[in-house]
Amino acid sequence: MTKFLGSLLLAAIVVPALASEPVPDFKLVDVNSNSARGMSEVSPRDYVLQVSGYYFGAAG
Amino acid sequence: MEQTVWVNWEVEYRDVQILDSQNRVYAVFNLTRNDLAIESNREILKQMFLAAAKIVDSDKDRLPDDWELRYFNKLSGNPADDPDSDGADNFTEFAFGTNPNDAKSRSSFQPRLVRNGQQSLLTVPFRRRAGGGINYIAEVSADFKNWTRSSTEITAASIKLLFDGTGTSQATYSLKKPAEAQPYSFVRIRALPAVQ
Repeated sequence: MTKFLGSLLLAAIVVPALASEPVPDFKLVDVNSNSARGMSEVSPRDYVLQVSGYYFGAAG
Repeated sequence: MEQTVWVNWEVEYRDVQILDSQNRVYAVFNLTRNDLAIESNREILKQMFLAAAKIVDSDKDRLPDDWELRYFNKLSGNPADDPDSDGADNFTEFAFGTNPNDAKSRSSFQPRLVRNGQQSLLTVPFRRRAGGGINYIAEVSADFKNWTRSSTEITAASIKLLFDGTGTSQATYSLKKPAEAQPYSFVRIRALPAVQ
């Protein structure tokens, strides 16, 4: 029952589930000097065949 | 440029967009609606990433779907096939991060001696698949017939992720004894499918 509720909760938060097309690409400088790729250009294309996450915390 | 990404990706403020291995949106988790100060929300986000990273092999041929789709556009690849006739079958190309359709795409297996004070240590860097699904085993031999994988002879691999769109990492093994006192003349790396 707990597992079922957990699945429902997950389904409610996941939006959308697996789009069919890759997202439009971009290339931006990673300004976090503490990251593995700090101060170098980063693109989602670099992460093909890997899972990646992008946090949008502030516009432009 | 940053604002263009927001528009193109149809992003909401404080979204975490999780992309799968084909750069498709797998899930979106908004941190305003789902506060990460709450433990259950942190767990949900973690499970999303784990689910996105799960290796899918629909035809159970030991070649993940994402790899087959990238190089063959369909799930028709056979692990023993060698479409570019370079002597490396599809499983080997997958395991060592090379292109199965390009005979010029060769393994980066390049042993070299590294000076350490008065001694020289043999190191073996090579490109390998990032993530799970394959066991890599380094072995040494003195006669090219009998091979040993003893941890007293070989260090554990150091791993450095590569970010070049190939889904691979750089692994490096080193022999523990200096070359001057090394009884072994040969090194090999074996790639075996992990038990699923």
